[in-house]
Amino acid sequence: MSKQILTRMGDGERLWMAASDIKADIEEGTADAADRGGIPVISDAEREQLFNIIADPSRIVSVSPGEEVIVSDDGCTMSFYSGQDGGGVGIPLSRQQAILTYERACGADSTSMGHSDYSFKPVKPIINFETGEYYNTSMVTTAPFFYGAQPNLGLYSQPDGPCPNPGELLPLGKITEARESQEQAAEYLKDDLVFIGKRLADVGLEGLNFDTCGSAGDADFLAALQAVEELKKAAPDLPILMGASGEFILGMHGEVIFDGKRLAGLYPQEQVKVVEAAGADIFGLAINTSTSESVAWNLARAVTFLKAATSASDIPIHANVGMGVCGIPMMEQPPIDAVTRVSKALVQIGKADGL
Amino acid sequence: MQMTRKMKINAAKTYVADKLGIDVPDLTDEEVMREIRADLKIGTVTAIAGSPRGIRAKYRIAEVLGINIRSVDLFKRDLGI
Repeated sequence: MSKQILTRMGDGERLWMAASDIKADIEEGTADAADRGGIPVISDAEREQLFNIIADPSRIVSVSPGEEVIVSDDGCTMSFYSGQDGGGVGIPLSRQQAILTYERACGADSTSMGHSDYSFKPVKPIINFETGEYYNTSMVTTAPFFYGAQPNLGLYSQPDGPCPNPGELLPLGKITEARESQEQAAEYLKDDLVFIGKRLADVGLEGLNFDTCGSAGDADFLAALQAVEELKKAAPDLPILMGASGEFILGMHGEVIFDGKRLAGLYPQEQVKVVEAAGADIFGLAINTSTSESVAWNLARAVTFLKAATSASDIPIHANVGMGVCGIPMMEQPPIDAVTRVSKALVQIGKADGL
Repeated sequence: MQMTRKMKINAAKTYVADKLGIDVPDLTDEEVMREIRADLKIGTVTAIAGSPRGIRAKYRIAEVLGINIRSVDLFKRDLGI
């Protein structure tokens, strides 16, 4: 009888799996990533290393001294004062108190603030409030302090925004109209990202985080790339972290191009090259978690994609390890056993520069 | 170093360790870093009354690492430094 190992599924369910089944899932996971991304599978030694990380009997695992990486975040401080839908614990703290608590009590490597909606569009009408609070807080923080939000192109479509909704046009076969609408929306989005970035840059912004780029597809990703390019011309010293929303860019438009590359369908090792070309300083990599597969399967996929991306990249890559990303189970309280195994594997095998 | 110089993690850690005159594993050694943080006035984990925190600590961090921190640059411009 094969040795039984306590592990989890991609939805967080805890279960005992045979060692042979975990090894088989690792084989299948890395093969799936390689097939989809056109990249190499991880080596035999790395598969064995990944198995040992997953099979470690300790509840919590970690890297060796000297292998630590730094952590950036996407609105983590909001989790202090927000509720369940924001992954929050509902403590009555102001934004500044939450940021300082995260920095000083939790020992954060970097911290951030953002609008509670966590999209850029709602920031524009209240930019003076945001620049004021950013400036005040930057005077008392010590760790690198980002302003972050999602580009979120969807907010520019009717009924929330000015552009005809491509989600309604596409089922009607109005492909051209849907593309034109996305192009117009992307232009509005890019202008808002640049406006907000410049205003924050004027008050000493230490770093800007374009988080979850491409969530509404390739035109969403394009707007963020163009905004990075324009902001880097206006403020070359402004550090920008640009993170993706999934393992490949959804082709909702299908034909938008940046730096000679069609964005639709780009996998992480290609995403990072266009992000580099735009001038961003750090790339955030996101790999989807399948809830019906094991952590072993999901993590094997994630490290395979990540290793290919870090090999191709000339800029640091932070692997996203939020709920349901890069092998973390898709649940609102990610279990510490899974979180630490994912983190260790992403650093040791995927060669992440940060999480 | 990742934000200002696009350094990957190992290059970034080596750069910082060299600037501090320590080995890379010491960067995460609380016993070593506590003293270095206090001596260089770059901010300690526990609060010491009167000891630099916030913009004062960042001012020193920028100097020690030889980097520009944009909030510090603004602060210096405002003070005519």
